[in-house]
Amino acid sequence: MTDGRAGGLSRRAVLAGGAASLIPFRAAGADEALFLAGCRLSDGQDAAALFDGAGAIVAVSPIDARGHGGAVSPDRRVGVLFARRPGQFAVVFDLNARRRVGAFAPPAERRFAGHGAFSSDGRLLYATENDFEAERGVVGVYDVAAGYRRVGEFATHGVGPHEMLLMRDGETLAVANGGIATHPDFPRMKLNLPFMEPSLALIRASDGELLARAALPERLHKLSIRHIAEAGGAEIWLGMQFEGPPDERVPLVGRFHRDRGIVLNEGWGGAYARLDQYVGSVAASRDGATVVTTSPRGGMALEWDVATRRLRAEHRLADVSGVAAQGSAGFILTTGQGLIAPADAPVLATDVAWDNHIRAV
Amino acid sequence: MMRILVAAVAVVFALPAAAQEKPFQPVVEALVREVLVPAYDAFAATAAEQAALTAALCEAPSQAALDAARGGFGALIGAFAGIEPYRFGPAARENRYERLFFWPDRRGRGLRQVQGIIGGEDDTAVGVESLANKSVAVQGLPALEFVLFGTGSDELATIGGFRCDYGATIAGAIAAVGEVMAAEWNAEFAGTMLNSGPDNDAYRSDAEALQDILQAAATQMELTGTQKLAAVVRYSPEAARPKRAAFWRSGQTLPMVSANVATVRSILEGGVGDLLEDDVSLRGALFELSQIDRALTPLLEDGRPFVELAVDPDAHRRLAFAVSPAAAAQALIAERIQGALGLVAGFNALDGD
Repeated sequence: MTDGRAGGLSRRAVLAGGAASLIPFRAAGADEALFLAGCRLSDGQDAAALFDGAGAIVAVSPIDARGHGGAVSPDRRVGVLFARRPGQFAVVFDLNARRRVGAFAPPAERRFAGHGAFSSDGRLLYATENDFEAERGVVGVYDVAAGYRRVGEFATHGVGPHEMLLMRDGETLAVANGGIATHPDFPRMKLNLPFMEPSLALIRASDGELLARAALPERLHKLSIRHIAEAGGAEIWLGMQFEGPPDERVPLVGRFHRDRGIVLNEGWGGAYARLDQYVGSVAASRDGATVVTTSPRGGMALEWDVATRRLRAEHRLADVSGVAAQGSAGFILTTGQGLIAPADAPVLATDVAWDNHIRAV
Repeated sequence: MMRILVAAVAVVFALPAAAQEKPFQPVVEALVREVLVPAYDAFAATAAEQAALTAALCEAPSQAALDAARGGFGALIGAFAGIEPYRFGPAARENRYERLFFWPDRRGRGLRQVQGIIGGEDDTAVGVESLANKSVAVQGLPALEFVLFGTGSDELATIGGFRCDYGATIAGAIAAVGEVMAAEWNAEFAGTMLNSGPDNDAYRSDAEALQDILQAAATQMELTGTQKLAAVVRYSPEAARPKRAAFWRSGQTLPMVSANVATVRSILEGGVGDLLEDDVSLRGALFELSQIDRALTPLLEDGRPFVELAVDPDAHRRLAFAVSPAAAAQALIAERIQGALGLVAGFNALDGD
């Protein structure tokens, strides 16, 4: 780390702490911001990390494979980081103690897709998963108090589910069905591009009932809906990845509303042309006024005005992907090159590669 | 956020500077003009020949005509291997890549439907335009292979009929895709790759163009090693699954692997060495390719069907051996060679999630 406050975390220190423990080396303030993210340490070890609002890393815990998205319980005491798809584990953190306290796995015939969300009462954890034999997406339901015992599942009503969030009503899960079929026998190969049918599904968390489902027009069937954030009036903002030709201009950002379906943010072709057909992460500010979409391939973060649905600004930042709300109106960003850019503090350079997503605690 | 990002930008621009300083353009030009475009031209010509051979078989069925069509299929697979790595450009349009080669087909989409078409004598599968509206899995090389080599194919020597007409339609469809891809490369996409810049929607820089070609070579070695070999031979002769292999019916599994190696070699020998100060990683990658050839050469000359070879202990050992150099070649291209040229994509940019 080049950040002074991080106190020179070394690989040796991590190992000395043991693979199952998280090493706190900075006292936690009661109300300060905390973020959970996956990363790769400078020696290649994958890890889960917590950092504070100034970007100082407060804890690191090695994990067996690359991490991906996180989930935080409503009481902000528990954080879960899912392995990158096809994921075979998720690790659990006590966010007060800043310690890793456990891990759990999907059943043998399922793989985590990399994202999940807690129920509004914090008793259940929902995880997007792939039923790869049947080539369909499912939401796995895990009982938190029972040590993350899997207690059920329901369909995502699509193929290749990726990010999922619990909407602010506390009752509805929004699931991005990316539409891309994969199988553990063919790691990360896309097996059905000509047949893709991405969709956004709203599912009642209590019983898995499908409440609404929206697909894209046929000419955009290769626009994989992968990342989502809720902003302003129960609208879900969509960050997409296009599997068609690199020089075909398609909108990579859109919104979904239960009553209006999907409306794409059209008219920003100049900005989309710089994203290499790829949006990696979406986040909304706490005040709901701004959405940021990042593109690591394009090295761009786009800032959208939620009220007008207009593109407000473009920011160039190499390999940027992680983004989360910070404060009432701002964002914190991370890059694969190790930068942490908080909303109200200087940019820090660390010597770890930050993975795609940040979850604000 | 704006103020913060201004600071971030200053830090970031200090980091990767190498990429655009090297003279990539001449190498991209040499690769496009001497490797990629000729490969597309060759595929178009070979596919046209196969269409003619298949049509001739249907007009006058005979064992000689069937043998000629089957022999032509081997040449067609060899020519396809010459363009197989390139999933960008004209191949990415209108699902052309998958129209030619929808594989791996884990759900058996293709085979089931092809058998259904033949069994039900589905007239909508005859006629190139009509076939184009059907699933990509019933109009490409695997479908043509089943028609010419699958169960019941021997009767093509005596009766033309529906099966032959469907096969001729597939061969015609493959030829049409080959022709349009070659035409687009020659008329337009070669120029797109050679004229990168801020107004070029596909390539902002020569580095991006070269990265696409080298990444295609690396990905091909990964696919050849993991899917065409490792997933088939697995950990023992008893565990091998030869029918997972591409083109086992026609005996083209290993010739195709060998042709994949030749294609990747042609990319690596296409001028990249001129850009490297130290060519040890390039020589290393070429050595790994030669190791694959060394392992497979006796098997290519063996003569037994692939389903027998894959479960024969000696042959299995050779097949299993070929997996490691394929992985090593992939790593050398993707990490060392691209790394030395400053062409490695970022941690998140590469991620694909």
